[in-house]
Amino acid sequence: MKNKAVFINGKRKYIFCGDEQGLKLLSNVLEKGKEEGLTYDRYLLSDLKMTLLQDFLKSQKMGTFVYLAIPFLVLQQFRKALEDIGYLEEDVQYIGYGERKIPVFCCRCHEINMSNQEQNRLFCNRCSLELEVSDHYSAMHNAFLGYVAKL
Amino acid sequence: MKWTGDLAHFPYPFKDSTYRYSNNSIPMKQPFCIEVTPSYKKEMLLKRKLLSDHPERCYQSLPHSITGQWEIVELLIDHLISQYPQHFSVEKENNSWIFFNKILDEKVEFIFGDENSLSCEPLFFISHHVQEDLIYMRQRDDDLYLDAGQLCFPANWSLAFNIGMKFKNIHHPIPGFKEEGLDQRILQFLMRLEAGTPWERLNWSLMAGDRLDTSLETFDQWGKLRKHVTRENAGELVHIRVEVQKLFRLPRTNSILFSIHTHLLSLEQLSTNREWLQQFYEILSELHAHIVEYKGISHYKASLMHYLEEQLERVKAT
Amino acid sequence: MYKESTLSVQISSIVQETEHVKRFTLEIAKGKQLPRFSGGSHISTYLETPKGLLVRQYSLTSHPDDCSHYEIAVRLSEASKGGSRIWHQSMKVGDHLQISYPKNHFPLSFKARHHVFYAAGIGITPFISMMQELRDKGQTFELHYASKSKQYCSFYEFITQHYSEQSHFYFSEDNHRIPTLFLENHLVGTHVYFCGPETFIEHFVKAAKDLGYPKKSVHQERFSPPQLKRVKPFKVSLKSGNEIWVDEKQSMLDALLQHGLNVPYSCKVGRCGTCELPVITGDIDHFDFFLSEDQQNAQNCILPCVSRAKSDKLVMEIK
Repeated sequence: MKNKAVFINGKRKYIFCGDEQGLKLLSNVLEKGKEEGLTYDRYLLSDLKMTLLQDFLKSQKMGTFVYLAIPFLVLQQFRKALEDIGYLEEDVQYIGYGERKIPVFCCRCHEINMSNQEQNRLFCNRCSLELEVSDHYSAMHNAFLGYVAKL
Repeated sequence: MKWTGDLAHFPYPFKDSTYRYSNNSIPMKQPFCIEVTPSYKKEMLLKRKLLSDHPERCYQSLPHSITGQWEIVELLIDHLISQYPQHFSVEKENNSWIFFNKILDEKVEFIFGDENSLSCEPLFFISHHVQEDLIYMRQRDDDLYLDAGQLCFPANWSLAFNIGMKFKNIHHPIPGFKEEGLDQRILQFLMRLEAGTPWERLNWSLMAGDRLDTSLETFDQWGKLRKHVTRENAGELVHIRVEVQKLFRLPRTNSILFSIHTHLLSLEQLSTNREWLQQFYEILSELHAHIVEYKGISHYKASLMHYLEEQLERVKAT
Repeated sequence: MYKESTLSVQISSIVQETEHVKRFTLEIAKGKQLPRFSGGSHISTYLETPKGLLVRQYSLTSHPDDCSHYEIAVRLSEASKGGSRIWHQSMKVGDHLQISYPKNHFPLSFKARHHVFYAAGIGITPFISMMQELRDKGQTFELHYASKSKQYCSFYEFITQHYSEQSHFYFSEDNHRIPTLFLENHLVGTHVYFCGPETFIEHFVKAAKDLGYPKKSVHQERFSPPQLKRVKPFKVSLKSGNEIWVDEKQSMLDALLQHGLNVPYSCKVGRCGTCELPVITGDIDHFDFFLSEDQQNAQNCILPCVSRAKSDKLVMEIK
């Protein structure tokens, strides 16, 4: 997950995909692609709905590289959909913008709580334990581990 | 329940007077991934209660781990019957198996490979017959993932959080592990582990209290005891916790089984061995601060050192 | 000499598959079981010869869940240093030998949504068990298999019988070759696997790279060590002060073993990492497929089974 798109060389085709705000964030790499005369598609994801995009991405051939720029809040579900199609980490750059929530896994009851970016302590919604947010991340839960804050 | 450690069979983990993280794995002399100790019955009772009361905490699996779970069942039963034929046996007719646990006077019939023939997942079933915790790491796309596990006696970690995680991510909280490049080396070591050549290693930590179940989920309960350690009660309250970890390559799914047998011994008991006492004191004296913190000792290290010094003086006086 | 733990088997049948290829069935003693294995696995076979033990790797072509016997297919190689010649000319039904436990350096990708196998000649062998595994799991795959002719095509009957829908044959006698162009048509989520002669693999790996395939979607199995392009002799200096000469015809590992050094090793083609040794000084020419790029660039360790010195001398951390 990045804040800025970086150009990747040597792919047969590029897909620049995002909502309006997102495509603006991709303008630098899109320009670069145009300059170099590369094959590309620009895909406006106006309503942030996945179905049509999914069919479009599924029909692509190996060697395709995807730039996806959308709000942080929906990024994870898109990432999951792309991985299910078979896109590897190496095939995609995910660019997020806007508000960010940090999911925190409660070490006692396993509830996933949403915390703000600045917050490093919070109370679990389910079991009320005070949690300290760590940098231990689970991709499967898409959450950071919250430890017992005070003994 | 008051824990009485078995001094005679305690896997004392230290060779030198210093301790650093390392890949301290050695090839196994006897290639068995399980051990039945005199506390078998007592531990099975505790383990089964935990599995039934807290299944989410003690058992996790991903759907694609079933073939690997059968592989574990096959390996464990094979090891149980070859090492303890007086306690365990199996009758096989094609894929119909009848497994006998004579210690607990139990008989389980199932069709090998047929999940419906058991009332639970294969790993969950076999977990009810061995003292070890069982962790299944599947090698896929050049990495190792925790794809299934049964964990009743964790040393302060959460199986429910770690399920599905890559090897290096699992070890992310260990300070210094990544910086020293050890995570990469050990991952490579594990990925080159071969069937037929199992390895074992010992891992240690200290804890205040004597519960085997020191899960992260219950840390708010047992962790408090760390604050109650004094130089007077350290011998009785503080325990050294040693995990005997055995590593087996499972060739059918190209994955790795970690079996973890946890042993506890009070420092009082440890101190009865003069050499251990001296060496353990030296190790603690020069242990790096980040390891002290990670192993949960910092709260009571001063009291502990006082206690050990007293013991050393007592020994010297006699 | 270092030897891994092995299984004792007996040859129970030998089938002349094609003019140059024989299939051998290996059985374990009654009452015992062979380990199951994963698709793409191989074993090392240990052949006793008057000159010493010959270790050769062959893919398992039997069913991964069959614990009663294993099958391997051996092509008689003209350049054979002894391994395939002994298999073809000396091994008989009833002979006993030691084999390793199954190992897999060519596993199926877990992430793949579709698998495509490209085989040339005897390079077909690992794909036999891989196709079986995918069929059992209900996953999709296709096979493109190049051979001289139908007559020289190992497993032709077997493949047409079991995998006719997934398989395509290309016989050079009919002027049919597998075009690398095929790589352009695979949908996202496809993983490709190449096995065959070095030139075949290199050709396809390069084509995939040029199209922008990520490295992780491209899998390759080599039966012989990679062709060394700049081979020259060098010296190895040990901690004991001893120096060992490695000439251009031998590997550094063989030289060390010959001098009685107890270096553990396994695959001898730069894949498993078992023989890794620390290097203090000297420029290393890495030819392995085990160390990461960063580890290779660090220039402080070597897999002596395939890698060599660029400089005249390597100073080693071994006794």
